[in-house]
Amino acid sequence: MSEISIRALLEEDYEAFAKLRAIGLETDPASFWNTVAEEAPELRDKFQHRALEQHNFIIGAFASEKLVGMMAFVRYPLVKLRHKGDIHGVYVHADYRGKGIASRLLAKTLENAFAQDGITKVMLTVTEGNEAAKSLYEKYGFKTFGLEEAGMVVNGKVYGQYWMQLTRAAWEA
Amino acid sequence: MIEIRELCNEDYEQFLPLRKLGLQTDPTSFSASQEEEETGLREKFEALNADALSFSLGAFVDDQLVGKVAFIRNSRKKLAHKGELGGMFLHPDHRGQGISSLLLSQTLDKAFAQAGLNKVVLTVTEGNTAAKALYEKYGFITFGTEENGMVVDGKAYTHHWMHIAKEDWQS
Repeated sequence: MSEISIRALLEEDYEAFAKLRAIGLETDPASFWNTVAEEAPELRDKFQHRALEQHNFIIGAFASEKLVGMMAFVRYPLVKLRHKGDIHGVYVHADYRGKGIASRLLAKTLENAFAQDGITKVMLTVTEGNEAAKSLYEKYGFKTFGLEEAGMVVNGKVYGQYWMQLTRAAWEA
Repeated sequence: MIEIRELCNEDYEQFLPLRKLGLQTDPTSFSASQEEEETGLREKFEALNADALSFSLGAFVDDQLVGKVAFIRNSRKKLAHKGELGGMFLHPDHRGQGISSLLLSQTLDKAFAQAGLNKVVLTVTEGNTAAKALYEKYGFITFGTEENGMVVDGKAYTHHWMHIAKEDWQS
């Protein structure tokens, strides 16, 4: 098993990002709000926004230079909301699960996010049924503040969504 | 004489001052701040009017716009079963006359008449008890309580996340 390295994605990582994202939307559609068709025309802009804009970043996990996992952090731009940011687009390739990669992505994402001035909390949603992800977030101190019934519908099946957040105080504890 | 009707682009001249007043008198009711609102508001207003499934309703008293609310249908396939209610504001001089109630019930009537819409979601900021009570009266339930949902002038406010399912709506 090759060594896994963790780093923020750069502009030149776009192709690898798009490829992994397409796999994710296919294998785990309930983990993403978009469908492949919906995001195709705007994927480059989404990457630009998430990976390269100030305050935002995507952390990637690489196995022998190949992108196998990713997690984005997007800070709210509005003055009244910029104390918070969302974790989005979390995905680890099926062949690379169970190796602690998601945990390393999360640790790095939180470290970078809370290193920013003024960030007091990080939020995310987990789709019902994704218990591995939910327990990982709980291990890092995330608390569920809401359960939205019928949060998402994928191929006619209805899923609840857990809304979770981690405060800076809980992170530092 | 209160009239409730859908807003169109021509109403922008009345929409703008009402919106500005809202940001000033009730800053915790809006995510945007006064400074941030200056750019792109007309474009946003017109885009919402142009969207086939989203709309704004206005309450007029003697042809004067005194209240407004927006409904935004989620355009993503996995989320298209829901829409968001936002930007609810009533001029302080016209409160306590049931106008919010009219705006809310007509928004829900119009929204739930759309094919495929199963629920409407909104957030209410802590302290806005009249609005929360109104939503509850119409069948909204709180599914989440987000501490530090918003910070206004250094003070943190909780956000209540609410929704109403189509089957719980009686027009």
